[in-house]
Amino acid sequence: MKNIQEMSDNSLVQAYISGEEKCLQVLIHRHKNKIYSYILMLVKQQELAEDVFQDTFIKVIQNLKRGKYVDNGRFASWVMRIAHNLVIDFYRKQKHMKVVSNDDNDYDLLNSTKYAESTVEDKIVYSQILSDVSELLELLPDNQKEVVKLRHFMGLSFKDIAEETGVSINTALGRMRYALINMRAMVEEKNISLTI
Amino acid sequence: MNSNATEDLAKLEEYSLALIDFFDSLPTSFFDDENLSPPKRIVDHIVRYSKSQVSPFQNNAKLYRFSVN
Repeated sequence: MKNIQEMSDNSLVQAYISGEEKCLQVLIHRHKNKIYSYILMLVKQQELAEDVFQDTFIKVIQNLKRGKYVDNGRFASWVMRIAHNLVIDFYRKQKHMKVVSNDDNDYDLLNSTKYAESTVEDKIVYSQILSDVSELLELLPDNQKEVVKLRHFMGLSFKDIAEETGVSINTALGRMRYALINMRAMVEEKNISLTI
Repeated sequence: MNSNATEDLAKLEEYSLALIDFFDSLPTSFFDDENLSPPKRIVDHIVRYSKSQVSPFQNNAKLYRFSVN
């Protein structure tokens, strides 16, 4: 084999197909600047140009190894044609890629105060509500007050409340029912707001 | 908006093909500039990829043909 650097593109391609890996390196080094400049002029972004350059030569390798290269003395333009197809494909895909913005919709499921952090004002109002509820609770008869406290402040089940207070579950449920009715009546009577 | 993108793509395609002819007419020495060179790591990736690929012309597997071998 004559000096590998002096071989024509076609001879290098044929030798590469026959298994001479070094010939590909010579081909790449001979044409890399031209191909890379071509891609860079089209995409104008260095990182994208590098990706397209790599994909181009991967296609070149695949086509060469499958015997798909027909020599016409213009190896570099054949490679640029592959790069051209990849660049056009890239921009075609970009065109079809829909960008979704929340601003496009009138209603945004996630844009709710429920998911927002509480403001100082919310915290003040909430503590005021708790204070009002505690005052109302104190106005209830002792047996109803006891059930509400055990259920809502201590988290006991009605079965546990029944055992704790020595009554049946139905009695405990009844006391809770009357406690809520009484508290609702007091809220209306005193015109208290219990919502944020 | 979509038709604008299609028009732009058609223009890019036209420009890109014209650029191939233009670059083809320039001598390779025209591009002898470090700034026009892709990073070495990219070239190394390509060379490594090539070494991992076996050409169907290179493997020594025996070709079997239906009702011939």
